[in-house]
Amino acid sequence: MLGKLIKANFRKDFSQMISFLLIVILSSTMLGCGLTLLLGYNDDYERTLETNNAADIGMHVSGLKEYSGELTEIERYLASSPCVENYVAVDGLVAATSIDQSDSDEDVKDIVAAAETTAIFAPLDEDRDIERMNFIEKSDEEYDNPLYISGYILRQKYQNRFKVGDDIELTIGDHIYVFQLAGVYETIMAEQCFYVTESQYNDMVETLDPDWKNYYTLFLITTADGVSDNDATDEITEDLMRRGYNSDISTYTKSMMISADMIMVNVISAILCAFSLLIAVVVLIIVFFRISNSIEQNIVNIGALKALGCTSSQIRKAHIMEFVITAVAASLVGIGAMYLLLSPLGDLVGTMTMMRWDAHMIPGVAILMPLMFGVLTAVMSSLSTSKIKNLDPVIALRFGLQNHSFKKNYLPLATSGGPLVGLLALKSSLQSKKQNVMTFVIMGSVGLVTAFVIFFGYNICYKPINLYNILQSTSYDLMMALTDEEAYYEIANVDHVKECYWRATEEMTVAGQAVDVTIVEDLGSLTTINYTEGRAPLYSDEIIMSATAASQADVMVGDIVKVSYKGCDKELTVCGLAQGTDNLGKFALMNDDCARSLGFTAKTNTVCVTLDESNTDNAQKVTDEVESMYGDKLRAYINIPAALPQEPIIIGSTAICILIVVVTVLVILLSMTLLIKTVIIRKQQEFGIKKSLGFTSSQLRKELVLSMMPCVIIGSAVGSAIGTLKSNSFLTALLGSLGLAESRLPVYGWMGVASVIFTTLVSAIIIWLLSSKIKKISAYSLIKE
Amino acid sequence: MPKKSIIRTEKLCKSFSTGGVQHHVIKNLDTEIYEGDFTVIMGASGAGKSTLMYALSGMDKASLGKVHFADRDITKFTSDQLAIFRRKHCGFVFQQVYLMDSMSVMDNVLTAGLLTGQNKRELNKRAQSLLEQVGVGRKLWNKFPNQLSGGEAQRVGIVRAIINSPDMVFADEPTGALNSSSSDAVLNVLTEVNKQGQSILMVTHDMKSARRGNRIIYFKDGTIGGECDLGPYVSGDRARHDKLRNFLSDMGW
Ligand SMILES: Nc1ncnc2c1ncn2[C@@H]1O[C@H](COP(=O)(O)OP(=O)(O)OP(=O)(O)O)[C@@H](O)[C@H]1O
Ligand SMILES: [Mg+2]
Repeated sequence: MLGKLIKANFRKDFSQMISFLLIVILSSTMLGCGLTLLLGYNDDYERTLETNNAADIGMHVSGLKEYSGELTEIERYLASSPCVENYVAVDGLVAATSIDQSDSDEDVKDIVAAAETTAIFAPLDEDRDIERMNFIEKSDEEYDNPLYISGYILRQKYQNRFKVGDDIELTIGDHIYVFQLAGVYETIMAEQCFYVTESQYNDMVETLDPDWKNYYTLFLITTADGVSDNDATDEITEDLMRRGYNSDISTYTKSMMISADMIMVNVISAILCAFSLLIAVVVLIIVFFRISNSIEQNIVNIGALKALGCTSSQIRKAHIMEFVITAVAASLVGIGAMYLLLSPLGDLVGTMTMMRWDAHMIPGVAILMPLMFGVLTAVMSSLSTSKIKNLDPVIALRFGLQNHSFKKNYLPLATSGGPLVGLLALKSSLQSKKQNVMTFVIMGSVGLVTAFVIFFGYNICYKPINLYNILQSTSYDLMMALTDEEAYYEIANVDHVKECYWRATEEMTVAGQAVDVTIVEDLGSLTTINYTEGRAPLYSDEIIMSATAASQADVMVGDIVKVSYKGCDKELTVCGLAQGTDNLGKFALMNDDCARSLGFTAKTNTVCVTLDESNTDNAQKVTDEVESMYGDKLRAYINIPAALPQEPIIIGSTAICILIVVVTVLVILLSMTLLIKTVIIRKQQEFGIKKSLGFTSSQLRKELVLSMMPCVIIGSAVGSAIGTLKSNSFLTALLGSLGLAESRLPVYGWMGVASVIFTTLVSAIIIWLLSSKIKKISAYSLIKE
Repeated sequence: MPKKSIIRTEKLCKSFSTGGVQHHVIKNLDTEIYEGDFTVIMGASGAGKSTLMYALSGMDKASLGKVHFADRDITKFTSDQLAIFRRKHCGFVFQQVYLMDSMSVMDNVLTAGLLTGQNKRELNKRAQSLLEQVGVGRKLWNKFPNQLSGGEAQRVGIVRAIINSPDMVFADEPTGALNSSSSDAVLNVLTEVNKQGQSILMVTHDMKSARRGNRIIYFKDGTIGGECDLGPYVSGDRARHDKLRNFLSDMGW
């Protein structure tokens, strides 16, 4: 009996069930991907760290050759420090490399075009125990000049353009080296290492001009039990700084690398999960509406079934099972679709984080999802079928369901003016409360998402410089490395240049924390600093701290902090706080005179330029002009407006934006399909009657579209307004742990308006197209019922 | 004075194909329906009375042949043209009434009227006086159809059908779902509007209803089996009654 009822229901609702199926597939696919990413990535990351015996701290020390005594001292210090459990020293050469482009006419000075990267060349040591060589690919062949690079460099710097066995020609200074890619290893902490053979290394040491290389030691350190990597770093840096070494020392921690990677992943998975849950909510509401409508519609049949001896629970079960079966089937399909999507998802994540991710199915997710969708649908559908329980067969047969009675006659035609179709549409719109609530909820969520996507798309995909500007403590459009320390004077006069300044970066200890300090001549003259509080330094004993570092050290504007650099300690006043994601928010800014008083003499050959109007062309014009002025003294440059679209975060965000737009349109399409089909079925008889009175199909279609538009517009307006107003708060929440204290991306009114127009237009078109079913309803079918 | 015809068919055919089998319901029918008449179509169940009526009104498309309605060949019309044609020229009364249950009584009537773009004030007056005339009092005007009795609803249905003074009111068993006293009230309304000049074409099963007509057509085997001119309805006219009964028994009813 139950089986028959379920089958009958399926036959009747076939096309609506298809829409329901598709929308659940969509939602479960996204949810599956989101959950797998959230749970799986973390696990795999942990595993990689464990397999590698990852270092907790990486410490770069350069310039050691000249002060070789310091190396022994640093090693001795590390060996005796209570924070350090163990360490290895990778001795190498650091050099700026770019892919040889001598046979192309492209401008090799463009850092991005040349895939320029800083490499630490070192002899391969497969036996070391910290940050072990964890090869994901390794060739057994004998090569003349094998090179082993990290997957990170291969994916993100070289965009996967090499395969194991391929030749890689690298330009270092005036030399071109030909390597064969012999292996790719996975690492979190030592991604810049380019491992070569001992003999090749010695050859490079001998042949490379000192201008182009620097001796370098990378200490890979594991911390003692119970000592956090951040505390250990702060302590080691402070100790070493106090000793006043001449070498340049900079450190980074495992937790910093992890959180940078996790943020990207968490942002993606949060967006996926949030969005799929939103769809799930929409679909559940539709289920509720759909079932209660179907009951009203079939009340006589239900009465008849009851009269025949069907129990209420049988009839209810038939309705519930219909949806539960479909939901479970759909989520199973969703798991299948997710399985197919895991590999591209892994690739996407790989281009944004340190680790290549071989995404695999998590059994828990595969079990949980169908269960969740099944249970939710069961709850929703049993709620909406509860009416059946109390239905008296006689009453059902004779009068139908009484809640169908209309209490109030809105807009009586006798007294209301206006075109007939519009009036009728408005009347029907005022009467369909349940339908209005549904439309409102659907369009509200859709509007919210759309407004956010427009905001996100505008600031991150279309004008990524906006995002870049809030993520950077000091932003610029163009950065140039010259060999002329005076160049910045003249560059300031080039056309399109608004601001021009030199900039240097050095690691120092500020309030007990190792931070990256940016030094410029006069911070007060820069308009591009992201202050959250305070002002630029006016005196040589003032410093700007990052909001993140300040809150960790519990420092406020006006406080005095201790700054140590190479044996020199000074007390500085915090005059301002800035936000930015440089070094995950651990940075500080100071003026040149302050740096000098700490004993740091900045090189002034790295020049940053802010343009009057930020775009690729202007940046290029300035570069060309500078090149014509300085020729080969311009060593390298980076055109930020041109480079940004290739940044992992921008690529990832663009992918997400496109995904969300596609999904939004699909959600509108599917939910509107369900809604419209339900409405048409509900109003079938009325349409037939109206046709007999002489309404044309297009009048009725217009009426239907118009009757839904008030709610569509109100819903989408409310959603869009919230989405637009809250977009920066939402972004702050997403990117907060990157060091972003407060997102201040430009929000324009047109974003909300565009969102309303877009969603309304798409809905109107979809409703109009779907309403073509009305054409098939004939007045004649009334008599045939 | 010869009667003016409103609807004239030429070799009208209507067939349905069910499961590949052609089922001819109307076969080469040539007939005329006249202005001012209360024409009644009778026949056995399944004979094709409803089919004929909806083919004549253009609600359903003819398979072959022509239907001239108010001097126009409506078989050539598209469905939109037919819809627009219906507004002014046809009124329909259904067995199940089919009022729009989301609208009040008054709005049901006015919707039909406004469709032809009538002046709202005059339309209001006409609707009110027609409703009063059929015995649907003012206190019912703002009620919804499911708050009416079957007979009240059908009388509203009739007002809706005649609000635009159509050339023809088509009524398919308008009393089929009503008890006898409600039926009488409805039939009285139809008789009354007919007297005021409204042409009516009614399908019925029952003699009491058929007696209201002045021309009875018996539909049989896809064509007109015979017809009978009863003359104008007079309440309690024994002779008319007998004439009808004899006619029907001739037809094998
Ligand atoms: N859409 C259709 N498809 C197939 N056959 C149809 C269709 N409409 C009517 N018929 C058939 O045409 C014949 C005539 O039907 P119609 O409804 O006109 O009869 P009727 O004389 O009105 O009967 P009743 O007195 O029972 O109302 C019937 O045999 C019916 O089965
Ligand atoms: Mg019939």
